This record gives sequence, structure tokens and C-alpha cells, in this order.
Amino acid sequence: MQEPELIRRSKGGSREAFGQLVDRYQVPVYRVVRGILGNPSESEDVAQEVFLKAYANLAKFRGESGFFTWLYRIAVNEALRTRKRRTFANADALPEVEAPPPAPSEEDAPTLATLEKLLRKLSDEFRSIVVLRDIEGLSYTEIAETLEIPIGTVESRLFRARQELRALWRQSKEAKNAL
Amino acid sequence: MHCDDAARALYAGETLADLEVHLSACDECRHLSEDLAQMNRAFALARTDWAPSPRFRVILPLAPWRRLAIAASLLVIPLAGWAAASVWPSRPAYDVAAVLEPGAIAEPSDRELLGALFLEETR
Repeated sequence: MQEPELIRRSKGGSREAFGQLVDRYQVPVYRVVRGILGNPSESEDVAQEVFLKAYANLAKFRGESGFFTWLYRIAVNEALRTRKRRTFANADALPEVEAPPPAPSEEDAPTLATLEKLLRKLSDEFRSIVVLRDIEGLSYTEIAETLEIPIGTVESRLFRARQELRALWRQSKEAKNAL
Repeated sequence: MHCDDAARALYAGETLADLEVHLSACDECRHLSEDLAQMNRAFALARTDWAPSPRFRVILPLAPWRRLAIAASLLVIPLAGWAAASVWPSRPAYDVAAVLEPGAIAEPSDRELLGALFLEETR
């Protein structure tokens, strides 16, 4: 079934139709949340929350933007809210990452682990934009819709975010080489 | 090509004609290009590796009418039970002994007979 039809049926109260939308987007939504939060199991809880919010607010989706950009917006906001709540509530109680993710291969393992570690050092704004562009592959227009910022801001923010991430990457590489 | 232009192109992922020429001559920009390539590989890994666990399921709330139906059925079951109990009383309204055939009544046991005899004698 086509997405507009699924959205129309979901708005009409069909849980089955919304379930299909969930199936379609649960992995990308999880990835966005995971990229921002860094914690695998907490990310699942937040992803669940994202879909509950989307389901509850589906009537507010007017189709002016794409459904997935609307969903990503909820995901980014929810992940950032969780992160802030965690920071304010109890910064020490919950680690950002429980364990390093299972590595596809030994050679790749440090690369992905490094990326996760360095993403956590970026500001919320930079982290969100890097996740949306470099991991999710959204276009500048889609990012602008998701984050509700002008395209010019997307370009400049992404440039600065990548610059900062690269500086951290280089530092980490040099530190590793020095060992 | 100036380093600033090369960096801008590299960060934006653009492929300019004279970029390769500049990279072959400039160590700093070459390092930047290599780092960005490594970062892109890490992003690609994240795309494939970051997935929810297989047991992850999004649980949606029930539709309001379904919640209402469940609440109504929960209310109906005890009500139906109460109604059934009041229509069919647990004790029969008639005397059971009166409708039983005389032969169906159990013979008195030896103990009961002895008890009756004992009472007779003491009188």
C-alpha cells in the first residue's frame, strides 16, 4: 500500500495501517535517536515514545512536509528532550553507552566506536545535523524541514559540525598513534 | 586552487576538477580528505549496524472504541453473573425429601438403630 493511503487510513483510526508505517520507519527512527542519545536500549524506549507521539498527533500532520521529515522531527525533539532530562536529572546514573556495539569486523570496530564517542562530544545542534545528513542521508531541504531552519543555516551548520567532528577525529587518531 | 576552496569542497562532498591536483600537492588537504573518507566509512557502518534489537516491537495503544468495548465487557461479565445467580437460586425452593421416592431414602445405619434403642431403654 502507498504511503499517502497508509497515512489516510491511520488518520481514520486504522492501527494496522499505522503499524505498516511503523514497520517502514522504525529502523531509521531508531538510528536517529541512537545517533543523538548514544545508548542502544534507551534509544529503543525513545523510539517507542516517538511512534506513540506520532500516533497521538497524527491528526496534526497536514502533509505540508513529508511524513518521514515530520516523524524525524519528533524523533530529534524526543531524543534531545531525553538527553536534556538525563543531564539535568542525574548525569552520573545512566551511562551514555552501555557497551560497545557488536562490531561487523575487527578492522571496522574502532572506527564505529570512535564515531560514537566523538558524536557525543558534539553539541546537540551539530550532532543532530550530522546524524540526519551523514547517517540518514537526508537532503538539505529535508533537513531544513525536519529541523525547521532555513537551508542556508543547514549548509553552514553542517559545514561547522563536520569541521568540528573532523578536528575531534584527528585528535583521536593522533592520540591513538602516540600510544 | 586555494586550501580554503579545497576544504570547502571536501566538507561539502563536492568533486571539483582541480581538487585532485591540489590534493596531490598539499599534505594538509590530503589528510583532510583521508579523514573525511574514514568518517564516511564510519557513517556507512552506523547505517548498517545501528538497528533495534530483534525483540523490539512498537506497541500502539488501543483505539478508544476498543478500550470502551473492553471496559464494557469487563462490566458485563460480573453483571451477567449476578443476573444468572438471581434467576437460578442455588437452593431448591421445594422439599427434596418430599419428592424423593420412599425407597430412595437410605436405610438407617446400625449406629443409628443402636442409638434409638438406647434412648428407648433409658426412657
